[in-house]
Amino acid sequence: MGKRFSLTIYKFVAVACLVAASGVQAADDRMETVGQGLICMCGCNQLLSGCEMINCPSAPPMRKELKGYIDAGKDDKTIFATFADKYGPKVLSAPSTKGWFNLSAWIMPFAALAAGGLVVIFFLKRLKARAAATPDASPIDASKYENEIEEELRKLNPED
Amino acid sequence: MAQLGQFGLAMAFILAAYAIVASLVGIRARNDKLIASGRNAAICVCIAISTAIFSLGYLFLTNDFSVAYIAAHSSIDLPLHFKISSIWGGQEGSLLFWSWILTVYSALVIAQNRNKHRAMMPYVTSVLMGTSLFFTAMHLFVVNPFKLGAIQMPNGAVSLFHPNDGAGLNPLLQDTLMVIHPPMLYTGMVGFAVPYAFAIAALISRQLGDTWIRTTRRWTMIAWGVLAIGILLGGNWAYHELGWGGYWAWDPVENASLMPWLIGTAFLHSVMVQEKKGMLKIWNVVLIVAAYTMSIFGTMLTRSGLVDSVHAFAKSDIGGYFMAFIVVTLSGALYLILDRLPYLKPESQMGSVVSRESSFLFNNLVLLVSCFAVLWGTMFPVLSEWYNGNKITVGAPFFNRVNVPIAIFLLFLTGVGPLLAWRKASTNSLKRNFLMPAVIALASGVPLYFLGVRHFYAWLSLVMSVFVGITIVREFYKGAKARAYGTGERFHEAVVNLTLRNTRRYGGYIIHFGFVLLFIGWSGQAFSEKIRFPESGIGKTFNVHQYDMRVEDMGVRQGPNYAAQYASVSLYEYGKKIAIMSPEWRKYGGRDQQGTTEVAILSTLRNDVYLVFQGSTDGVSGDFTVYYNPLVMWVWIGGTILGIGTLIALLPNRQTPSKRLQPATVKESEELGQAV
Repeated sequence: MGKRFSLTIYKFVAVACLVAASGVQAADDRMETVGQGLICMCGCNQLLSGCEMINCPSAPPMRKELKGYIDAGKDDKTIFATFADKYGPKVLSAPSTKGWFNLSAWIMPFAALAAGGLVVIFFLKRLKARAAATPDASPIDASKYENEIEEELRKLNPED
Repeated sequence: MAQLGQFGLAMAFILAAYAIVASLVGIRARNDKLIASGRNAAICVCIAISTAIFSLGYLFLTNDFSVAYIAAHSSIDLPLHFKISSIWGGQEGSLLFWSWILTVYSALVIAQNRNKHRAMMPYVTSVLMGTSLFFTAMHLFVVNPFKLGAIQMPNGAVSLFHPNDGAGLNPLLQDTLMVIHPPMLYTGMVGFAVPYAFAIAALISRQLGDTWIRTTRRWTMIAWGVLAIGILLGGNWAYHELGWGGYWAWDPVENASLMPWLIGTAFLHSVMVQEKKGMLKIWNVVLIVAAYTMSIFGTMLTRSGLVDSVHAFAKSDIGGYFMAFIVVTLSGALYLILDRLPYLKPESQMGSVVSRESSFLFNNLVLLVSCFAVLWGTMFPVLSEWYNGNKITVGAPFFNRVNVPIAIFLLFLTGVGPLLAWRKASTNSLKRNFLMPAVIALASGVPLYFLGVRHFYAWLSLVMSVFVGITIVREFYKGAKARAYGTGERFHEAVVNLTLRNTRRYGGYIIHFGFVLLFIGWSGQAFSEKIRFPESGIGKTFNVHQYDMRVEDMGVRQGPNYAAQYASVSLYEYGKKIAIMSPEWRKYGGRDQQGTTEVAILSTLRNDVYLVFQGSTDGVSGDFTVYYNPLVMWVWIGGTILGIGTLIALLPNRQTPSKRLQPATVKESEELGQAV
């Protein structure tokens, strides 16, 4: 009974250690992921998780602060908001999606892609229409030549 | 020697101004002697700027700290090769180095074309010398590298100051790659001035056929290839010097070099449409103007301190001058383009949306949007500060989210574009060319997923890499097989001869293949891991994936101009010792007393083990950080292949004798292979 009890205790301790260890690992992972959403304020312009400057005056206290929030169970959104309140919006590694100006940072590249795509399609259609209107510039019936090439290659390369 | 350098700058200024006037008056008055005089003056500008740069080098080598620039960027104990790289280690010297490369390019181009393109060359000389004049004026009047050191006395008088020793070079720049990387970057960025000068000359002289493109194709390729390698070398420097485990952080200075490169890539593709089909003439001129402008803008961004950057080793108030220069050159170019529109009409029409021409257009669109996204993100902090007084940071997460999908689409086009026919691709040829690679690529996605590639973009990038890789290999295979059959050559000989007979096409494929490998390397970033091991003493072991590390020793050693704390760490893979890693933490004397890490990296094709030692405070334990970075080596291999491809594309086509068939028949059989 005593032996079984001891074994149960050992198992419990082992499982507790594993759970605790995975908790530490999860906290470390979260430090890393949340740290990628923040900028080190020493002026190096690096992500908080990436600043490895020796004797950096900002990264260690900021990391300590972040760890405190994570240990206190705060969610990412609250942590970012707390840092932004304290250091200003420049502490965030990417613009937020609040307000049209910040939102424009995200939208503009894709809007440019869409607008550019439309321009290219319009340009191609116009050129195609112009080509169709010009009799001597009509497209060649390429399939006929492709078949001939295919046939020639087969003669050249009988094993295919 | 400082006076000699100063004299060189003054002469360069006068000669550049004379070259512009003589060339323009010469072409107007149809005076060949005046044109030749302008041309010779432009070559003499190169000699004058060379005198200045060699004088600066001499001042560094002889530790002449009476010159403020030498005192600020060198020291007696600085090793020789870093004394040379100190020339471009600060603001004044790096701009002088920029000028020097420009004048070397100018002299070579002008000498190469001295008896060609008589209507265009005087304008080419003027445009190149216009840029030289601007930079020479900057050296003489704003950022003079030969300015003597001076201090203000308590009574307000200014006295010359000659310190016994200098402040030393920034420790981060004391790296062998920094001897190579900046020159390559500058050579690449400045190189776009050559096609730009020809484009402007073509506009002025109304010679808007493809002569200017054919004449500058190799110059553009050199600039593009050297810039690409320069960017990758910068990434390699950041990887092993900055100690944060990565090679690209979307830092404004990195972005500054990427933007002209992206536009240059678009230009290199779209000029093919002009050469083959006589189309996109306006577009090509716009692109090269944009590439040149971005080079100047990038130089301004790097040197003005307009944006915060970890790489900005020099800051000053040169931004206003650069902006004025950009506005003037851009306005002039736009005026010329609008004025010459009637000369820029296409010679043929687009046949179909599914054709190589249109794929190049989409390729251009994606490259330009990518450039815009980088520019937008880089400048957004400045814009936000102007708009609401708050400087909003735009870091790597933004750039990755925006640029990664765009880049993957570009990779897709890399595979599709070259296999589409000019004018119109039929459904049959689409099936023939793309069905097999697409099926294999999609099939490869399944094992990749089960092997743990669950990051969507990384998975997509790898699948797309397989697709593009197969299309490229198939192109070589089909061409070489047809050639081998036609000539009786062995297959590997046929591959070589096929490539050498059409270096531009097959060099291009090799460059594309280099990109496939780069994408494979970049995909690995999604799986990077970082683990900190604080206060680890001798005997401490730590584990990352299949690797175990054991701290064997710690100590102190003295370098030529630094003191280093080192750690010796044994690396075991699956229990077997495979290496001893020796990371260091260095503290340099002189300037800033700044400490830097010297990381230890074990690279394999599968992954890198990247060990950072952040020093020890008590001598018995220290802080370590280990990064597990998959597939990084493929980035460097891809870069090397890209460089080889560029070199091949620069070679002239070789005519090889046939063993079995006449040359014409060999060419026909190769073309048949390529077509099918």
